[in-house]
Amino acid sequence: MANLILILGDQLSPQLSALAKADKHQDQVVMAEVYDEASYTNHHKKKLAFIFSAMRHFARELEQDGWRVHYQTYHPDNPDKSLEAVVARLTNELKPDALMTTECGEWRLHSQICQWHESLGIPVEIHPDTRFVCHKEEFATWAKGRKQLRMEFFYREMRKKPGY
Amino acid sequence: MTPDGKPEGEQWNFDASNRKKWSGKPPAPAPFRVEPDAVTRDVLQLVDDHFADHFGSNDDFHFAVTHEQAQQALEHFIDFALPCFGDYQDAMSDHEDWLFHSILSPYLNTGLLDPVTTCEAVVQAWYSGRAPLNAVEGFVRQIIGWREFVRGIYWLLMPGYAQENRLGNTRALPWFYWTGDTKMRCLHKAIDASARNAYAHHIQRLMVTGNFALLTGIEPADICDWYLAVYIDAFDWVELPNTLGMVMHADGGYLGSKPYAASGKYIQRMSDHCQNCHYRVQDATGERACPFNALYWHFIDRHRDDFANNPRMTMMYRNWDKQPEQRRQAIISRGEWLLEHIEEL
Repeated sequence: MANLILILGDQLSPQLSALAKADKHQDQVVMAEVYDEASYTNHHKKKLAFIFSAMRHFARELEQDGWRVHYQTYHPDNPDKSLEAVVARLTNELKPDALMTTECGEWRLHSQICQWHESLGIPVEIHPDTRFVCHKEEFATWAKGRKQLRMEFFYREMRKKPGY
Repeated sequence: MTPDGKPEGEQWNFDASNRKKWSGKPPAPAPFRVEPDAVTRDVLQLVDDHFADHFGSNDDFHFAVTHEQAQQALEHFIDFALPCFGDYQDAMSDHEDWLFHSILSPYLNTGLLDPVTTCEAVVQAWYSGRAPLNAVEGFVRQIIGWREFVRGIYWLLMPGYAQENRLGNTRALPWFYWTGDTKMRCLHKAIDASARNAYAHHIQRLMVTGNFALLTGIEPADICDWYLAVYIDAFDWVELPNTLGMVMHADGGYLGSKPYAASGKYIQRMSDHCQNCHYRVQDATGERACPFNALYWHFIDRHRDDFANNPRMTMMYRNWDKQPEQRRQAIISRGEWLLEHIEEL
């Protein structure tokens, strides 16, 4: 089997970078509602409901579009409490060549995912999130050497980019 | 932008037009609604069963959960709210949750809407004469300006950023942030809306729940955790710089050149909460004096060293120093009392 494609609850876009490089006929999308992500803070009930529902609808859309999706719904008795556990189990079962994912929006989880290749034993490709106008490196370059970072000046640079 | 690279309307920033109080007219549009389908109903049940002790209520869940629905939410915003979005961006209402806000942040932050195509649709509304330039620019600035800037700051400065506490705060978050049980009307209303909707609009988050935490010196990690938990659109990359930086000024000023601190006067100017409040917004001292007033000066006074070199704060200190010694002492005393009794306010 080719690749596992991990999609997180805030990455529900058909144009997601991790999907852009994937092969619908060979790769397996994985999405999971896990205890760890639902519990790292006292998430508002509506936030949990919104994200889980949006994830389920997106998984369905992907399947209708021809993707193979492994979707894990939440259950308190599920022994796989973390995304890493879910991915590890699937890696064991399916023996993918690699895990592909789009960089996530939380430093906590991102730094964990950066280490996964060690325990999974397969390469983990982290693709940039193309849903932003300014790439992380671009911002770092803009910020370098400036004594003060002011949104107003940054904004004008962004507006000048083609099309804005 | 114009074809020759200049901003439309010859201005980059139309913010000055976006500061009106709302007195009920024009009426706020009904919010966009989607009735939960079977999938959403299952999920609502799951959350009520397994996450029953989490904050807030699932009652009247009506958010979009698909791209198609989110697109409809965007069109609803453009059709019904965008024209007034700019004018009333900073207004608050004692009885109206949503006003003219887009409520699109949950969709933008989860991928159900794309930020660029969203801005393009809004800009199109100006070109076709459906919305004024101040509303359109105000909206675009939030998405192409602030949202991108906040993300840039987050990834540039994490993980250390999360530990910043440059004003040296040590106070725990008052329990009423979780219950809404406070006699301060503006806070009660903002927290109540947050509990019901998992949403509060920008100025509530910045100048009510945020301002109070800033003035009372709440531990940044505590207040940041509250914002991350409570709001449907909250993910760490966007929530942390907004709360720790813009609200709490705990990072030394990356998100704002001066702290967004304000007294009760601001809330009175921008809302109709004060007339229904237990406290009196015109008073700074006395048992029924609006807590924001004395707390504001207490904040200014105790952080003199932190803001001594900030030119945007000079006027505040000049005003404070001009007050008679007795008055200043009375205000500071009231501030001390309020801080000691913060849980009972």
